[in-house]
Amino acid sequence: MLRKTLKYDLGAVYKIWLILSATVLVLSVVGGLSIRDLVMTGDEGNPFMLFSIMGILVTIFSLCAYVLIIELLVLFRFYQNFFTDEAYLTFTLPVKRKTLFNSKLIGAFIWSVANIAVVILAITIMLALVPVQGNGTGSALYEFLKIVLELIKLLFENFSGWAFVYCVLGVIIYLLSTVFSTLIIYACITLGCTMVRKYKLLMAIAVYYVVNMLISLLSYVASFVMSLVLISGIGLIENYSEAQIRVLVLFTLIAVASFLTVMCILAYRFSLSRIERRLNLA
Amino acid sequence: MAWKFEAGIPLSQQIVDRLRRDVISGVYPPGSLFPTVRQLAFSASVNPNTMQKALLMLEEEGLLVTLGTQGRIVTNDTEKIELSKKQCTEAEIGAMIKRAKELSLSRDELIKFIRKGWNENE
Amino acid sequence: MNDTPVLQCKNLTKSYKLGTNVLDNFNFSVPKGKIIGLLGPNGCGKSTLLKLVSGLLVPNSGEIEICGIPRSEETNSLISYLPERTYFNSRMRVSELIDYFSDFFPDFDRELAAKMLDDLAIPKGERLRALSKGMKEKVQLVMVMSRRAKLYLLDEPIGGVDPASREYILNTIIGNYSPESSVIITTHLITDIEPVLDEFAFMGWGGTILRAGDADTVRAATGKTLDELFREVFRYAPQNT
Repeated sequence: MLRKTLKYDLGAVYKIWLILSATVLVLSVVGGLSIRDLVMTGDEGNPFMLFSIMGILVTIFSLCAYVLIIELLVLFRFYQNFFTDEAYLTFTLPVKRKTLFNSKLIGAFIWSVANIAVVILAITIMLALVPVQGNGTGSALYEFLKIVLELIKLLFENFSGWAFVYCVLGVIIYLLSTVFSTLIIYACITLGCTMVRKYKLLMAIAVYYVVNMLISLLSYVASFVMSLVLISGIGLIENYSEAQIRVLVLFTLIAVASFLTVMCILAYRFSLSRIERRLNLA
Repeated sequence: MAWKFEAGIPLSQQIVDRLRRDVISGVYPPGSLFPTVRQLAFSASVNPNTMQKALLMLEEEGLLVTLGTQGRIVTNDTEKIELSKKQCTEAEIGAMIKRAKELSLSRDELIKFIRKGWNENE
Repeated sequence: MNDTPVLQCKNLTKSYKLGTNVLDNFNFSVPKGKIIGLLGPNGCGKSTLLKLVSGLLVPNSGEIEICGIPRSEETNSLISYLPERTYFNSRMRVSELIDYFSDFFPDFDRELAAKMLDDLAIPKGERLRALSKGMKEKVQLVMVMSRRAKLYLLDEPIGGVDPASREYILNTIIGNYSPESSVIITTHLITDIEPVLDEFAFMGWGGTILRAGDADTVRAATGKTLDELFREVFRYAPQNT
């Protein structure tokens, strides 16, 4: 059953995603060429300068808009399917509510990843088109990749095998935060829409606003504490042995990953219980 | 078109009366295959169980004969049909006579009206 | 011979606000092969009952059994529910809606749906949002009636429709009749629905069944049509605060 619901959840967004992705990639070519134009003409007078600047702006704007549109679309589908009249059909299907919710979650995750892939591709295209003077006819992409490789070498030199673990944990943390951001919005929508009968969407947005502020507040406090710790600890770092530093980094990464996991589970459980038990359709 | 029904009399009864008239008047000739419950319920826009009740009543009267899974046929017993026709007619005439008496008509006056009306209706 | 009722409600209670029970210890049983009319004034709990049976609402207490099986999302495949409002995604095309139903409901009859849509002159390639309100309601009805379910729950199926379509809808209900399944219909149009019913139940506030019986024999018993009987029973029904 999950496969069936997933098929329809992905299918609803698929066409728009395809069109927007194609548009973004085309625009990234435009943007890359624009930057190339500006870089190449440099100090000389450039009659096309205005177009190039506009080209860059349009490309950056489209990248931001692209991510936002797809995200909003996915969120709106969640709201529509579960909390509007469409729910009369959704919840009379022979499918568990849990499965329906999981399907929405997995769908959102897939689109998040797909989005990032397209954005990375777009940036890569842009970088590939931009030439870097001085080192012959290399492109910015080449230079960028060289820098990345240097960083990776540095990482492995300092931490040897552990660097690999760090990278894996880094990726896991990234994925978890993607999932968490989706879950927290779903939870806000769920709470808002199950609290009131009318103006559900407005309530959901209000809840999200409040939650967002809380998270921001907590983040400020956390980063404040962290910077205090860091400042006081920086002097101590020199006294630590390499092995101790490695363990510290590992510990931090695992702590962050665990924290995100716990938050995800909480948000998931909360949303699901509300959908299963407190969703009463007028 | 859905059949029209009046108040006070069960639907199944009204259906029986109508179908009986159809059999007597030859709409369904003796020995012919009778429509199924489904078909009749559909054309009359009534509940199939109600229609089934009516058909069972006609079976009891002997106007319809069931062939089990093959369906129903109108009886070949023309005597029975004639008897039913007679009973129906007597009931209709009886009602007419009662209403005539309410209008203070005598028997001969009523017969005169019948003769006149019959000729005009030709 | 399996005599399990298609629907069994035991001590069903549902309240939206504290203190008022829309349904109060409601008991109701529907045997196979019956078309039952659930009639009553607005707010007496008819729609609530249908929503409880189809799983859209969770009861405060009590049990619901479909063909002897406790209500769950699995029993949803035995139930075909028609709500009062349109419940499909308007961006879908009619043909896509057919695919959707076929996918989730194994008992969905595609050919029957196609035939009914043709009868009602509804273009299958059209997007649902391009159809008029009446046509949308008809599409919904076609989807619901094209299922070979054990229990059909129709909430006001003929309310907003023209008389010709009304007749088509009633005939569809009759034509779909099977001794293995049952239909519960709620409506205000009692005169139209009466010939189609096996039994009726007048529902009062709190879900109490004020009067129930055989639709056919009640005429002889009371000398009234079902519509007249309804007016009599509910004429002085007290308003709920």
